[in-house]
Amino acid sequence: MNNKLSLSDLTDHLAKTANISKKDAAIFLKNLFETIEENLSTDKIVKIKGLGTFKLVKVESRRIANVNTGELQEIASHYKTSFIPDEALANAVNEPFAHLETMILDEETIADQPIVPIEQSENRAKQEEHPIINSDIESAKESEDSIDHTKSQRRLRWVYYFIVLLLITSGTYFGCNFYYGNYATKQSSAPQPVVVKDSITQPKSDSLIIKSVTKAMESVDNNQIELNADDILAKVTMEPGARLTRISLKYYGEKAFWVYIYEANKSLIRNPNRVPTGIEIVIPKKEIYQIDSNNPESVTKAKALETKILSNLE
Amino acid sequence: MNNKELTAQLSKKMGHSIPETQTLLKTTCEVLGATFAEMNSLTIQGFGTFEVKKKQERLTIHPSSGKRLLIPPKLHLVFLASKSFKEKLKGENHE
Repeated sequence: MNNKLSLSDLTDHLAKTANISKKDAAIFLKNLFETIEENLSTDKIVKIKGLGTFKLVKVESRRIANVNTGELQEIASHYKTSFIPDEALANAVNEPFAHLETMILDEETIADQPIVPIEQSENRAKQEEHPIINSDIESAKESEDSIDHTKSQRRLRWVYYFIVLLLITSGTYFGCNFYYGNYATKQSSAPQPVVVKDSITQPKSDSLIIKSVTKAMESVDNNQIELNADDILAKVTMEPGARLTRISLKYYGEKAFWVYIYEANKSLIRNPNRVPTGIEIVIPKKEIYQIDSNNPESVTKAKALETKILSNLE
Repeated sequence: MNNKELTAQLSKKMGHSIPETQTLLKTTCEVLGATFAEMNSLTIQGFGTFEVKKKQERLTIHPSSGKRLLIPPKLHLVFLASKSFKEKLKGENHE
């Protein structure tokens, strides 16, 4: 149990069970692991019946920031070994816990309270037509007050505290959702003067943001004039989780060229690390920026531009 | 590379017949299995380490049905390549 064994221990075991001399067993094992290693390097995969599968998995090159200095470093692409044990072996290893099964937890055991806040936050969503965070929080406070009276009468204070906490979080969450959702749709849709007029009556901070949004909309139109229809390779709608680097890899065959997609859509994307979802971005044709994934010069140029963009952000 | 190719190559290297190598390989795997079933770890110099590790129990939520599930703890066998093996792989990539 829990012993650390070495090759010599294994040799002894094998010699005993297979009825061969220790010398033979040692030679066999040495050859076995040597062969596995050699073939793993050449074939990238070695399957052994009764033991499992060894595989070499390619790791793409990626950039990391040094935690202490904040410098960007590049990790070259390399292979890592993976080992997946045979099902029979995996089951044998897991024998002590084999009787345990995945349990479905009852809602009663944990979730009595979350049901209430969900209903309330849904009602809130219906009430809220305006996508402004400030008014949201105010209305949240009002409803908190009304709940306050009824709950304190019942002397169920702990329930009340819990609900208040949930209300605040759900309130801000919905507010943010509304705000960003509208922000994204405003950017993609044509300018609507009615919306802007409404915003003037709102507090200053909000109208400032909306002004910048309208500015962004104007520059979008300018940008689309600059890029002719002939220069556009494709149009992509940003989905949640979509990354410029991925799109670049798909269309140009190299991650580094995301900078050109950013350049072409600069007016839509303020921060390339946080691209708003729902907007439609334009993929420029390769010729415009001399994009060539097989040409190392082109890649270095893109990487130089990348460091420039990222340093401008800071 | 599959089991057949491995036995063929091994028998060639050691000068044994293929059936002989096959039984020997089978016994080896059985011995290894017995070793790991006892939760022992095995280190082979220049190749790597086999180790039995415990995965803690955890809570998950089923993405489509939204049910909360408690996944039981599990023992599983892991293989960690040795440093020299990793270096070798690295060296090959540069060529």
